[in-house]
Order: sequence, then structure tokens, then C-alpha cells
Amino acid sequence: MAEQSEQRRDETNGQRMRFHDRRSDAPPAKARLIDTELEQLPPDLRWREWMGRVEAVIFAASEPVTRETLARVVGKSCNLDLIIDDIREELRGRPYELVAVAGGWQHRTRKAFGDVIRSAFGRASEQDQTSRPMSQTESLVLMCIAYFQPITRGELSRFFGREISRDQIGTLRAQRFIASGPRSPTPGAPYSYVTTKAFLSHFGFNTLRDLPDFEALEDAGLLSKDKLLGGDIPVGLAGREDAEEDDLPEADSPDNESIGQGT
Amino acid sequence: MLPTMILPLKSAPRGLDRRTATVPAGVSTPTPVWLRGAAKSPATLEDAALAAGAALGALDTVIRRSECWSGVWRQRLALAAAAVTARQSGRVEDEAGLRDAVLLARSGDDVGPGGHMLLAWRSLASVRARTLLSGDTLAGVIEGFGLADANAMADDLAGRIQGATVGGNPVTGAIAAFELIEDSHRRAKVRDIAPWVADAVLANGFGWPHAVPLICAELADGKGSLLLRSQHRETSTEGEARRLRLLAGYARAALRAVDLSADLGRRAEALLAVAPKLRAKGAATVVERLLAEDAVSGSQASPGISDRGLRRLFDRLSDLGGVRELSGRPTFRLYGL
Repeated sequence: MAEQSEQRRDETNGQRMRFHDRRSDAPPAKARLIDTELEQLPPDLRWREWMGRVEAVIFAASEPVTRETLARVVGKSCNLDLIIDDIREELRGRPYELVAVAGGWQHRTRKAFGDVIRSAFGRASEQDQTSRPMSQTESLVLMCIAYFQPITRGELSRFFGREISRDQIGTLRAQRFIASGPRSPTPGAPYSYVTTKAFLSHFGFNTLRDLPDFEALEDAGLLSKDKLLGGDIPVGLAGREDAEEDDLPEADSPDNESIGQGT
Repeated sequence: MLPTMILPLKSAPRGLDRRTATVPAGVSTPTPVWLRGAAKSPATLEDAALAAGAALGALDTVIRRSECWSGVWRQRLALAAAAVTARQSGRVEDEAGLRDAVLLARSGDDVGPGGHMLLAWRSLASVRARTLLSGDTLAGVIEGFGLADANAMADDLAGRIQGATVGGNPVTGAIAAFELIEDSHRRAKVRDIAPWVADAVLANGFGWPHAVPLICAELADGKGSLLLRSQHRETSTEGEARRLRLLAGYARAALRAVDLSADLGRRAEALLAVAPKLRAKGAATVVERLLAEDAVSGSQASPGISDRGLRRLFDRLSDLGGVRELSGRPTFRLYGL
């Protein structure tokens, strides 16, 4: 256990030092040969070394690390899922965790610390310059697209009961959360919109099924666009339309949280 | 009347004259009456196995004839399977919606989550069967089904399927592959691709050039979830019940595919019968596409024929009874057999 706590301290204090060592997930063609099997070590030490390697690679990367990448640093017999589980267990008390997003794993600070981190960096941090916090309307529009994609701007406008402007769609596009999908077979052939992988990664979803309350909506039969546009709107959603351009903390927190990844 | 009499009679569009249906579709697909009853509700594993064998045998003869309309046939089956997959993963698109998603997307645009599922099933029907179970193809399919972590899962899966399904008869192999995925990914959504993989294994076992999407559409109950879902560890009897359902499912699926082939065979005959009357340039290409694809968009550019010409060609084909309009819309029409 002493060894374990030492390792953790190393992780938390040594963040800066590690940044010049970031390229440990370089493509295999140029990577130096490393001993992945570690046959000279006893099983428990080998396991610990693999855990260390996997966590180091995930820590050093700026985007989610895929299973394929991780498989390059551990032995053939190693079960990555068990490794990840063990690392998560070790991180239980820490302010950051290992999350599975967009087909890979990433270190992210826990949600509870989102406000603290925001107040520490303020609005001047480099991330906030590129992406200002989402307005409530924008996040509602994005949510609507996520659940009911492919959906056109006209349908969104009918859904919200007021015009959803091109600017609002444009903002979401600029942030790469949505992309244009198939043309809708209605007059004018407007583009419909679909969400992207970046959307999944940013909000910490693995697949579209992970959207909150997806199953509940599905069971209630409310995932159908026609039904919603036909006026069968659930009360909870309709009530929230009144709130105008307030900041929605949840919408931009995941990005700010990931301090371990800052370049 | 007069102009048509004056104009010299053109010969049939090139490439079509050799395409004549060899066997009349109505008589070419004999399925014994007892088989339908046996496939509906087999009591024992033996009954189910016999029904599956007989039905897949009938399907095998249909596939071996390799008719010119087998492309549209496989794509229709793929569409039915994709609709089931879409329902399973909570999407609301029905068959028409999926067809729209793929056909109305311009090149370079995203076809949306439903469209990706249809494309994944179409890849089963169009990629050569031998390469279906490679890591690359599987990765594309897993991604198309909207599941994360595609590459690693695909490599892992490809290796284990190869190991589990070598030797034995094709049906056993397909069921083994299905069970392998069901059992090893009890929680994960990877199970959604089990029908896809099972169909691919089956096609390889039979040595078909292309796989045929079969089992997926049979496993859906009314709500669209797989019948085989059970949270507990399976006892041997439960495992047996699952095999029974899979075998019966394959029997019914094969019969359904044979029925669809008879139907499409008739329609293809009708199309080929009117094809020589078409005098537009590029008509041969359009007819080929109608025989190879589920549906053709009325406004999609086709080589050698203008937009207006294409519209008139489809109007003429509809009048002659060669094609149907599938979407039911006055605009954005989609034509198919």
C-alpha cells in the first residue's frame, strides 16, 4: 500500500514535469521497442507496471485514448478492462477520474470541482476565449438535435414555438457539435442536422443511447419527432422555454474540468 | 401515334438483351406446405433444426441461381434488418425514414445515426462474404451501429469468431457466433451486432458470394428488443431454448427471404419486359441500378441522361408498370421495384 500512495503523490504533484514527456502515444512506427510482456517480473508487479503504463499514456494524451493505443504498451495476455477498473478503484478518493468517452478513456476532474476550476481560471483562460459558455437556448437546441436527429431548423423552430436563427445553428456548428445530415424531403430541401463525435466526447457520452433519460423517453414514446411537433409536448420541457439567455453551467463544464489535459 | 411510327425503331438499350429471367419466378421457388407450419412453432430442437435446414436449402437454391435482381433483393432484406436495429437502439426511423436518410444525403454529408445503421447492413449485403469478418469491416459496422470503441472491439471479435466457427455446418457456426457475442458482452450494446455477424458466418459456411441479412428481423418482438435478453446466467435449458429460437428464426427468415425473392422476381420480370420499350439514352444504366439497389432517387444524377430525361424516364417506367414510387410523396420521389 505504501507503494501505491507514493505513486499517487507522484501523479498529483508531478503534472508539470510530465508535459515534455507527452508523446508516449506516438505512432508505433517510430516508437522505441519496449518490453510489453515483462516476463521477468512476478505477476503482481507486472500488473502494477501495466497499470502504471496505461494510466501514464492516458494522462499524457490530450484527447481520449483508444483501446488500440493502450494495447501497444501492455502484454498480449493483459485484460485492459480489468486494468482500467483497478485504476478507477485507485482514483476513488482523488478529484479526478478515468472516464470512457467517445470510444476511449480520458482523465477528467470530477464534476463537483467544475465551479472551483472556473473561478480559479476566470474567463481569461484560453479555453474560454475560443468557446464562450453556451446560452440556455443553444444548449436546448443542441439537446433537441441530439434526441431528435436528423432534424431541420424549421422543425426546431416549430418545436420551440419561435424562430431558431441561423446564427444559433452556426454557433453550434462552429463548435463542431453538429454537422449537416441528409436533406429533408420538404419544400426547399433544407439540411437536417445531426450531432458529431466531438459532441459525444465533450459531454462525456459513449454513444447516443447514453443521453440522460433516453430510455424513459423511449418508453413513453416521446422520441418521435412527429409526436412532439404534433403538440404532444411533455410539460417539463415546454415550461423551460421561457427562460432566456441565462448561462447554463452544466453545458460547458466538462471542457473546463479537464485540467489534466491542458496544453 | 404518328411520330412513333415514323421514327426508326431502336433496338433495346445495350446490355439488357442478355438479361432475361431464365426460370419464371412463380414456379421457381417451391416451398413445401409442411415447412411453413414447422417453421412457425417448432416444439423440439430436432424439429427446429430440420425446418431451418430445409428452409435454408431452399434459400440456397435461390442464391445459387444468382439472378440479375439479387442486388435489390439483398438490399430490401438489409433495409428490414436495419429497421429492427434502429428500433432496438431507440431510433424512431422506420424503413422509409432510413431510406430517406441514405438517399437524400448529398455526398460528404453525414447520413445521421439511422442512416449509418442502414449502411452497415447494406455493407453485409454488398461486400464480398469472404472479407466480411475481417477487423476493418467489423470496425466499420460497429461504428455504424453507433457503438463506441470500434477498432479494438473489432480486432478482438474477429479473432474469436474465427476460432469459434471453424468447421461444422453453417447453421451451427452462425449460432455459435451469435452465442459468442451474446455471452461475452452481456452488458454492452455490442450485442446488437450479433445478428449481423451470425449472418456473415452463415454466408461463409454456405459459400455464398454475398451474405443475406436474415436473422435480425426475426428476433424482434413487438417492442423491438431481442427476444434473447435475459439478465441471469443461463442454465443449460435456457441455452437450449435460445438455440431453438435461433433455429426457428433462421427457418422463418429463410422462408421470408424466399417469398420476397419470388415477389421481386416477378417485378424484375415486369421491368425487364418493358425495358426494351425505353428509348432514352442511358436507360440501360438506370435499369441496372433499379435491379441492383433498393431504391433510386428520382433526382440523382445518372451518367448519360439529363435531370429532365431521368424524370421522364421514371414517369414512363411508372406508367408501364416497371417501377413503383416508394416514398408516396409528390416530390423527392424514390423509385424501386
